[in-house]
Amino acid sequence: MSTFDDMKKVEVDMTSEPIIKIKDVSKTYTLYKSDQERFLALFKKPKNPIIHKALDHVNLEIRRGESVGLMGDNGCGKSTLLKTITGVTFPDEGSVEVDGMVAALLELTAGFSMDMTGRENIYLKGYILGLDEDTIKTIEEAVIDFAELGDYIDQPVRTYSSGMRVRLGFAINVNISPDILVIDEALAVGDAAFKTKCRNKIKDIMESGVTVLYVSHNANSVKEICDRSVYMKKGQLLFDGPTEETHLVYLVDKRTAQIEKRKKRIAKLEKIIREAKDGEDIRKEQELLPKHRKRLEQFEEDLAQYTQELEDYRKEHYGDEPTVSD
Amino acid sequence: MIIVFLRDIINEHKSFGKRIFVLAKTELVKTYKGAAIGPLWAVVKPAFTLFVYWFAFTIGIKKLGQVEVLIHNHTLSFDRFLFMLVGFIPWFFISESITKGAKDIRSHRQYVTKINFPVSTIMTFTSLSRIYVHLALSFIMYIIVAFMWGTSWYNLQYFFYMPIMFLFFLFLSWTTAPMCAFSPDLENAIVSIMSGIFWLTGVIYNSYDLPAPLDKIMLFNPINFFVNGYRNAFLYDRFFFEFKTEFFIFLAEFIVLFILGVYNYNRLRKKIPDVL
Repeated sequence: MSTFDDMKKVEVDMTSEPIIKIKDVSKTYTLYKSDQERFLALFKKPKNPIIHKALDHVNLEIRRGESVGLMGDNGCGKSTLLKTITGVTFPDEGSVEVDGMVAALLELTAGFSMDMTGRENIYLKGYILGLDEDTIKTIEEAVIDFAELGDYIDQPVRTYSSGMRVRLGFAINVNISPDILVIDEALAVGDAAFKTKCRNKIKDIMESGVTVLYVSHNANSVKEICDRSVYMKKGQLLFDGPTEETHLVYLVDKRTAQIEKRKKRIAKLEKIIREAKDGEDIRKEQELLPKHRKRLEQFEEDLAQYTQELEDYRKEHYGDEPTVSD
Repeated sequence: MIIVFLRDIINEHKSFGKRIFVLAKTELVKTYKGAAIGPLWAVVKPAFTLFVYWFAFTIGIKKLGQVEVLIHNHTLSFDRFLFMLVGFIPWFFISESITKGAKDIRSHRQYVTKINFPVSTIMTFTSLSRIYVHLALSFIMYIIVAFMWGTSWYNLQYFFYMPIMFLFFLFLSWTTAPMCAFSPDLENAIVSIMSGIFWLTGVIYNSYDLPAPLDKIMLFNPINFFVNGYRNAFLYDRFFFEFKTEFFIFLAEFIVLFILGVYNYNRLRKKIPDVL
């Protein structure tokens, strides 16, 4: 299934200037309690607003040709980080420097005009992405060819199926020869044959030395593509290292948090059972308790295993002295 | 500070260059695509509006068939249709610019929240697409004026009024579009006062010919500057600077609007992707 196994790894020049330089970046979102409050925020600063810290002093440098995976649970700030790199959103503090053209396989159909034909949309999207007419002309055939739309290319996009739209969007984004490719689990495009084609194309792009940022919940696919990964949690960049190590750090951290949570739940249940008065119905709690205990055991086993694996990995790669700490 | 702010807008345009014109064309194509008579709608719609008002004022209310205007101490008499026509042509552009201009960012939401795009150019290319329509309508108007009233060198003032009008409403959208992106309230407010603004503007009637102090108050409505300005150029044979009070009030409003636009755009630009 995997087509990345035989991929040639690109040599990264670690002494070169980074292509992406994120320096001490923080970003908070203001959550407005109501539409009225958002309207008033136009004219004056809201009093004690609800603030969500999406990025908390993040530092990251990525060099040309590197492929870096982003790990972390939902809401950890991955998407916000990618958005600051693609230049959609702006940090409150710190600076983001990107030296090259970014293509994002995130919003494949963004910017399409439904009433225009596929071919017209190739031009429209090209202009929006910052290409000039001559450049678009040179990639036009490649895009049409890749998207496999046949005669539909001269039909309005509104008549396309959603799969066709995504295919067209994907074809444009991978054919504009970007310097940086941002992929957010977009490999699931169309049918199996097209998926393979997409993976091959991404592989080609990566082999040509393009910098790749990859976000996925599937750790195996990150391992396939990226040598290096970073782990984010609650807006902070907690760990930066080889993908395998980062994944283990992530698992250890996640299990630790889960054990914590499970223990609290068990303590709560125990308290209810202990303090139950006569005649009170506690059958549900009594039923739940062993289940939770069993899960806790499972988690603790996992944690021990992952901790061991992490130790082994570090011993093998850095010798006895642990040189990297989390 | 305004200079620094303005630099951002200028840089956004510079990096975008020729593509602004291509996107303006695209904007037109988008509007009329899929309709059998396509771009003809750009003419049919205003022509029908004009006909309805002309019908009401000339056929319906019979004595309003003629308009008398005091210019250079002479009273000129115009056919109501001609008088209205020259007023309506800038008005069509203005009303479109105010209502659509306020929606510009919201209606191009994808350009703001999904990709890195020079947001201030959205207002420019949509305004451009509206001015293309305006140019076409102006051409038709000029043919009618030439036959009904005749031509003169004063007509060349069109090339003063038209670009100023383009800029004025572009600057207005620098304020309204980011604000409407924040909250649709403003958008609704603008749409609801538009018909009021129409009747407070001398499109159908002569705004100079109102009892004092209303005639003076009308000078503060910048839309009157354009509506009367087009009549200066095509009907009144008068230069734009001849009515000094009108000209300087407008100039002051123009500068204030420009500063407000630059200030508001820069203040809200970076927040827009987070609220849209």
